[in-house]
Amino acid sequence: MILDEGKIEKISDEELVSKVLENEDYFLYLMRRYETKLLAYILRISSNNSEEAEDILQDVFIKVYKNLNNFDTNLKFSSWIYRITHNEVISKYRKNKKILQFSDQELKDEIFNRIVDDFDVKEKVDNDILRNKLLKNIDLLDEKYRNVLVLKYFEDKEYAEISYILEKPVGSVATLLYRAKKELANLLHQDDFKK
Amino acid sequence: MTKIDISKKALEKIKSSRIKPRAKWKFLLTENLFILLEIVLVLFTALFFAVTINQLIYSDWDFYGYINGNLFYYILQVFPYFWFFFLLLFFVLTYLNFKNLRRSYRYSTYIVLGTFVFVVFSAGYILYTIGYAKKIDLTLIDKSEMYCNHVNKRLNTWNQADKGMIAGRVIENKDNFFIMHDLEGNVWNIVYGDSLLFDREVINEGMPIRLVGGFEEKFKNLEHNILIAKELMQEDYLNIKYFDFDNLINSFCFSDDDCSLSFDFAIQSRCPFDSVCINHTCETVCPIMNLNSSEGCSDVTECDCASYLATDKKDCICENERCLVVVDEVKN
Repeated sequence: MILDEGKIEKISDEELVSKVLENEDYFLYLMRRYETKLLAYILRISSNNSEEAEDILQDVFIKVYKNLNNFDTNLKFSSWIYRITHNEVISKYRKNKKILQFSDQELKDEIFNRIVDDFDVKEKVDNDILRNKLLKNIDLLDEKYRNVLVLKYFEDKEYAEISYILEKPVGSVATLLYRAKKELANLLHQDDFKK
Repeated sequence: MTKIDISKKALEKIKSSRIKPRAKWKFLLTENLFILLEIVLVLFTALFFAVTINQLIYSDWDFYGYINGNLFYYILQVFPYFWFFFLLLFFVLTYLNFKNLRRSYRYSTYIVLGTFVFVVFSAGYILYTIGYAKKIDLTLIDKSEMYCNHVNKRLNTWNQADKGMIAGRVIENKDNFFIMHDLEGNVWNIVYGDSLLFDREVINEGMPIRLVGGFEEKFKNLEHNILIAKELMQEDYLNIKYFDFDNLINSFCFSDDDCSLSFDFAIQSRCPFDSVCINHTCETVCPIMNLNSSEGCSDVTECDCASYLATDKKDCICENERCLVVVDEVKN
């Protein structure tokens, strides 16, 4: 007996996982909670091929389902599913010997403002120009820096969550993020200089 | 494909392929197996560390000048490559296995490696201290010729009589020399060399020793194995076998005091047999009459050797003014 959608929306991911283990139909609701976010995440950290991203996401969901009993309920489900997604993207791209590239068609206001605030960008340039510059330069960053920036600013993850997703100590995440910001600031500065 | 399609499609695939979540016990088993494997790997790494330092410590550093004059080359010669290889291999395996553990990502590489080094060194040192590493090494030395020839060559180092390097046990300590057997049971007469600093009073029967000695021209024609000891140390590592040498005959000597009459001749009444030192060899002799005078002889022609009728007569000599028939002990 499946609960009605209104009730399902109120229960946490972790509770929903328990329900999925009793009845597989609940898995659809769990997937729906993440499909948009994960698809965007896959697209951001891989190339802009939505069909490929959808295939990856489907594989992620099947993998998540198979490994549901391995989910540690002390952790956040979202971190766990992001970790699986991240690993799946990397393994797919390594298998195909492709280079992971950042790709985002547009920078949403919320994300843009977060970056601008955090990077202390005080340039007197048009926001649209800055947006384009940011998007262009994130792509130029090293993969490890890009991953941490995407998780922090685009996926809005905490340090502990990024640590779990990327399987790196929290200290290393902080260092990577610091270096990523520095690198991005340098790239933005170089971009200005060229002009 | 819309976003709903992906979820629905995934669920359809799960249903059509009858995919089921993997059982929890399988995850727990895998996880615990990795933990167990990690413990085993750490123990083995510690053990390899223990055997490595054990072999390094027992590498005859006090003799390196005799074995290989150059310290650098000597280190290259005695370095325990075999154990060190396994130490490194297991260290890497321990690290890689650790990375598979559920919460390993939380720790930085430096902390993990630092902890491994500390644990391996500590556990390895304990294994070394309690003698476990030594036991393994000695067991392999005893059981495997290949190990002796390629890994721990110490046994072969001390089995080079032609180079004057032998190890063994003391059979008897005399005034100017001592008798010992080497690792293969050969009897050696070790003359104390002038440069030898070892306290000869300490040398006693059954004591395991190793020594570096040289050969001297004046002893070359003798039948005995004789070495002039240059450097000598008590051997406290190798398991040296005991060989039984109750009836040492024709032994090496410097004076008559070094010789003693064997029991077989002591009980015979046909002659007052004696054991004397002739040309650095203990010989059993039968004193006989001097034909010319009741005083001592000056030449063998004065001796009535024909009066000695037994078939064990080996020689007739005039030694220290005494006429003596040298008896062949083998024929007795």
